[in-house]
Amino acid sequence: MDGDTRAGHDGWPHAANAGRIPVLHSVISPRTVLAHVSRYFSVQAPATCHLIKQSLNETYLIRQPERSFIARAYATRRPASEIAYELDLLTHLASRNVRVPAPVAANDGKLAVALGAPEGDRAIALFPYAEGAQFACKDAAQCRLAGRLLARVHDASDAFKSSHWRRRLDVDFLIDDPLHAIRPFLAHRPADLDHLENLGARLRARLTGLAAAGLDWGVCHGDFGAKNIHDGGGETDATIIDFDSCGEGWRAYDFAPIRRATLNENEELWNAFLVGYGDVRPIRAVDLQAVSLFRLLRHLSMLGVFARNVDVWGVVRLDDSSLDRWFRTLRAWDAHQASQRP
Amino acid sequence: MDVTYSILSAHALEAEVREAYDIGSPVECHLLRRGSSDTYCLATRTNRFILRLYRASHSALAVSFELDLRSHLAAAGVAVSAPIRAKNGLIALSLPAPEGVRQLALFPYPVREPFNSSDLTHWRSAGQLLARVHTVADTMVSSTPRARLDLVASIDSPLSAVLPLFAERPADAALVETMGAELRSRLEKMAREGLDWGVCHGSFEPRAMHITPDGHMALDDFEGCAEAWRPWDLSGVQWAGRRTSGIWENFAEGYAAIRRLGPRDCEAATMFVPIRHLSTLASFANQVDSWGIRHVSSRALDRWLLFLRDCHVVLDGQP
Repeated sequence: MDGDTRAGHDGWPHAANAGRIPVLHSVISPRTVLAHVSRYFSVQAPATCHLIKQSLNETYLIRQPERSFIARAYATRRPASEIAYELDLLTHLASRNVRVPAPVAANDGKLAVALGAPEGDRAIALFPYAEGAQFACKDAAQCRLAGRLLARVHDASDAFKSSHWRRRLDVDFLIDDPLHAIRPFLAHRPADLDHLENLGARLRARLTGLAAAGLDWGVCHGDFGAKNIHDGGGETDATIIDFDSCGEGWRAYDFAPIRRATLNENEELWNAFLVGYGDVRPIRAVDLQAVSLFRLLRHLSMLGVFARNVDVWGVVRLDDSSLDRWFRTLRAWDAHQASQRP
Repeated sequence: MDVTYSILSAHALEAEVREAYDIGSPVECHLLRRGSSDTYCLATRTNRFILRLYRASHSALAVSFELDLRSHLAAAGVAVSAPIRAKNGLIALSLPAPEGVRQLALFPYPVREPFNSSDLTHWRSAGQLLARVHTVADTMVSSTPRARLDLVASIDSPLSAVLPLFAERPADAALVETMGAELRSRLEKMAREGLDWGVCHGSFEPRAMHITPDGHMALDDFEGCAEAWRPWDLSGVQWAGRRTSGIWENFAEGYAAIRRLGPRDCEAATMFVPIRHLSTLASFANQVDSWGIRHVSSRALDRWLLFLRDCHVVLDGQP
């Protein structure tokens, strides 16, 4: 052997080589997150910190005897202005008494602080922890509450202005960008690629048509599903969390997750959601008409998210069995649409 | 700055492999999936490879033992893919990652069909395959220290990792503790009476197997390999056989055609279902800082307990 230290069991002389291999994303230890949060926010000991989940962002639960917080470490690929927009929106909504976790300001007044990670600076924001269980949307009362909550978000955000740029949930975001990202993964499935291109064109025409007919446009939550609604543990009203997918878009986009969740259930649940929304804010026929379209667009944009993040998630989410499943859903939707046409 | 896990750039891994291995110039490398190790596909102009990057929690010694075992099995003709040696003769590279040293190994890219659980001939082949693995592993001479799943490592340590999760659920904690003690005394007794002991695959189940183009059953996913009681490897099949008749019978016939399958080992297999179940939760508990508490949430614990109770009922039904 030539004295190459590289493959020995002792490994690298660590300090000298740390950082030699670029890192795309890292999971920061809860200990480091807690130390950082304690330093920059008014969170004092005793406190514990646990990683809740590892995903594109990491979410940590910080518990103190009196209150609990969520610390989110945003991935470096989320631009700072988008984070600032999200945090401004939450502050705005909370000031209008919408039940959202308003970001806790750091000691210097900023809503996010940077933490140096191997892949670059990561923004950390702190939120009050929304106690209570996740909604299941299995009973009409919950669905009605969910509808009201969404209507309040939409209503209160009509007056929201931010000086920070955030990507809109427009045709480009919903159709063109996902198609562009997915294409390379369908090179070996020409029939599916054809189908998708063709579908993309039809979806664009349909969406443009509905938009011209007056779809409601404004700030959307972006992922308004039952998992993001916490019931408040009987103490308080329900809270809607996780605005990481928010942006200006067509409001009917926010109806899609609950529509999907209630689709195989009693139609009463979906109606209860609409009644709840209508308690606060009127729904126009054109918005209702667009919900099924937005269900598919969400499906498409999800595939786009998988495609854009293969470097950190792996291509496993776009392998043939996943694509088979995906195209089955898509064809079923197509068939359903065809059957609905007069 | 303290990191528990990191995703390394595929491009940089490609460069590491280019320098260390004599396989021609890689032209592409991409992440296939993440898990207890991260798997990449690496391609040259003429060939494809699997690049496996182990987590830092997998020590160089543990990886070395796994790779020695794979090489030994492959050399004896068992359908297992063996690591490709680097130019310097070693079977793994140690790479510096922010969370610690991670081991990288390179394998030929398998062309294969998935295991079909509803095809009983697959279960028969699986039995033959596992018997070959056990028999050939008995002849392995390796100085690499390996994990030994004795009573302490298979029950005591996992139990103490798991019990704190039930701190706020005293009744459940008591159940887990009782069940742990019961499993321990049963296992101790059976081991005393004589159970087959030796190198085990550790995660023997359908998803670790696939069919090669020439029709052979091949085995992968050796990360859990260790010295243990052999019924450890039989347990997954026996559990699957509870619901579908023919699975266990075909598997056992296949196994017995190659290697003796003692009645005590068969009987003990059922007991290793909850023991493995315990180990799974223990590994989530031990690695909570990189996997997250979602895997040990109260809902996850409910599900885990449900299965444990199921095992309890089955064990109680035994003579």
